[in-house]
Amino acid sequence: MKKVITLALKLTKTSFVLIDDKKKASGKKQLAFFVLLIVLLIPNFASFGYMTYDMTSFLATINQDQVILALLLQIGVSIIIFSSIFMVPSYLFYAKDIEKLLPLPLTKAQLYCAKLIQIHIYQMGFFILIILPFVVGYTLAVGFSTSLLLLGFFLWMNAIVTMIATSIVLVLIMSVSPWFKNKDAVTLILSMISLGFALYINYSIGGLDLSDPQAIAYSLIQGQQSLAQGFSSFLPHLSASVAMIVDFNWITFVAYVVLTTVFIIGSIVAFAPILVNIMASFSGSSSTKKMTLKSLRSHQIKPAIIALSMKELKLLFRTPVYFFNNILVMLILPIIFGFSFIQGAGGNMIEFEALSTFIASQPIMLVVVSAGLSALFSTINLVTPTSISREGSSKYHMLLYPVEMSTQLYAKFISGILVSLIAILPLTILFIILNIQYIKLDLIWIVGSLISMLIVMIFMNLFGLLVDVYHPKLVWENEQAAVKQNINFLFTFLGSAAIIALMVFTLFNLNEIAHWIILGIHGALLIASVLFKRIIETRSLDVLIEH
Amino acid sequence: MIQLSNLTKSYTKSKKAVDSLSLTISDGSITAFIGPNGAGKTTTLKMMTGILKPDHGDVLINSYSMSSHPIEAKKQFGFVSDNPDSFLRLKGIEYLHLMGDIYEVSMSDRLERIENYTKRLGIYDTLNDKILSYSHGMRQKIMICGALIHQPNILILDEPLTGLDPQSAFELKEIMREFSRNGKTILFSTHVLDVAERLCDKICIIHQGKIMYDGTLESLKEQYPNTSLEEIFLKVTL
Repeated sequence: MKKVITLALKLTKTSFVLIDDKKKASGKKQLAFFVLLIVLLIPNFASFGYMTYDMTSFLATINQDQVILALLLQIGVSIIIFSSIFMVPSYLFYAKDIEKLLPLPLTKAQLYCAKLIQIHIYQMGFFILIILPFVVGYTLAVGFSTSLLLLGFFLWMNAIVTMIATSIVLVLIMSVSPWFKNKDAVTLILSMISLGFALYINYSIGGLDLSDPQAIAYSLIQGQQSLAQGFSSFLPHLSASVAMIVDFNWITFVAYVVLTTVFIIGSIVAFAPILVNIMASFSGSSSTKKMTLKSLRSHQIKPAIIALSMKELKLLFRTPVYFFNNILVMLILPIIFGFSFIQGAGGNMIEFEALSTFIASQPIMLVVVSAGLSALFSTINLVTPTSISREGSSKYHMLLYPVEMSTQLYAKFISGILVSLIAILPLTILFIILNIQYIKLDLIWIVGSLISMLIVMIFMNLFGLLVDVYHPKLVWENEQAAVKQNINFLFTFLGSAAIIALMVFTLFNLNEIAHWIILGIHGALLIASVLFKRIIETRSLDVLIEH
Repeated sequence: MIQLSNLTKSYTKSKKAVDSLSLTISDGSITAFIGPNGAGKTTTLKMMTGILKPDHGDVLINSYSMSSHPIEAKKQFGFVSDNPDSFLRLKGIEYLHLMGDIYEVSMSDRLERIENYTKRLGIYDTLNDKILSYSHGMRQKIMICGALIHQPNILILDEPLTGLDPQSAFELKEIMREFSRNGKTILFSTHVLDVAERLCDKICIIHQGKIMYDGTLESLKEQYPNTSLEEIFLKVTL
């Protein structure tokens, strides 16, 4: 067992690197980043914690506070399923370390256990990060209870069972169809399933008025269009666990623990050999499509900047992790925003006329909203702040090419702009149509908003690019780490938040001179962009060689 | 011609990975760069190709300085790294066209070269597949084809034979000889002394960042009569 735990901890440590610092593994630097991360998370934690506190306090007055525990169980189990779908295939089947682990003098069960512990540590870390504010809110409202302890225990057991069950289901599917060994395709399908699951949760929450604790409580108790009902219909087995937490008895508890333990041990013993064999079969290669003279000639000569931009886009679209995190989010956001906008306006002329009057009273608001959306979309796609990081060990190619480094970086910038436009363009077109039909703002404001969008988009993408030039994360085991475990997002997120906050503050607090200050902010962004361009052209090669 | 003058690189304050290394590799030669692990071979090759910046010294590639005229210098050579795991989601043919676009190779030249080299190295039929589906050896071959697409005057290869099957290794050695016969320069690092012995006009033995020997194999053997290259290597790098 000692060997298994040592290996699991080693695997956990080596595959989770938040900051890539080859020159000096500075503990202080790591700590500083973690502190920064926590500081940034505090507002979210506080709002979720307060919401839970408020709801629990209200429910406690009618002796229904355990409804929150039932809700927490359902949310917790959903997080566990969500994370298992992502983590089990990534770390068990598609991880690069498998080839190094297989020759070790370990039994198949030991290897499987070590991998499970590694996944479980990540899973619980992710889980605790999300569930903690709810638990704190609940505890502050009604105090610590045995029920809460029980809930934690059930969720922990459930996480292990779900993780093992996911691995068994995947291994059974892979045994039947070798197609499922196609990492890209499987990751994409699992991502789509997870996305569907997330949208379902979003839809469930959509039925609730989150600003009104009484309405939430009523909805939970009544079970009409409620989150609890939504989860219960999706995860029907949970009703037994909910009943056990609310109405605890020792016999059922012991039976649950014994049965779960038997399942865990039995599964490891029974499935470890098949599972490790499947893991071992992933290193093969295959060729399917024959080269023809026609396909060889189906290419046009392109200038280097176009060729490199296309390479960037191909890799973004074809790598499932990048597609999901950098592209798909940009396809979904305009749909969500567009629907919200039309839904919010009621979808009828009277609402649009009211909206028109509101915007017409302060049309600069349109410029601020455009700038805000542009900053958000240019940041959230993560294309430029991870553009060097995504090169990983292939970064040396950039230094080899007989092409100016600035040209190569502009190719990355272009890909960032194009991806930002995936979300921005449809919304802009939608707004222009609505403006022609209903809102009827002067053309000058529409043009001003488009210019504002463009300035912010250029600034944010250049800023993201420079952040990654100076702070790339080049050492990673799988592509997920290059994008999702990359601290660069925080820097660009802070930049984006600062622009939005500054403009909104100006708009609502400096009425008289708001126009001029907002114009000044755009001017400053343009000057900063020119400065960034200059740095890219003069310093980037030297900086990148040093990494 | 490759000229290295006084090349120095340190990763830590206490130790120099490459120490005042000067070397000239003449046109039309095949030179093997040999040395034990950590001797400074890869660091030297990286400085030569512009991937690393030397602390001191300069590299001249066909008279173009890597520090003052990097773009011109980089146009002169093709480089194959010991890590071929790059651009895995591109198809083989897409990678080669990307190289063609970057090195501004005309379509007719590039098609002819793609067909020639990929057929010789046995990967022509797999060019429509993503590099991700290639084995290590196939990835190595596609990188070699990419380095050859602009017919550089100088070919620099880091452990090029690692992972190649015997037939492909033979073909690569043939390609290298052809290059040399056409007056072009080849420099490659290797651990396989047998290959160096059979293929090279010249060898450079590097140890602890310094050149221990630079010359023809014959003159080295004259210095150590009745001794195998392996034994000479061990004596020189002891």
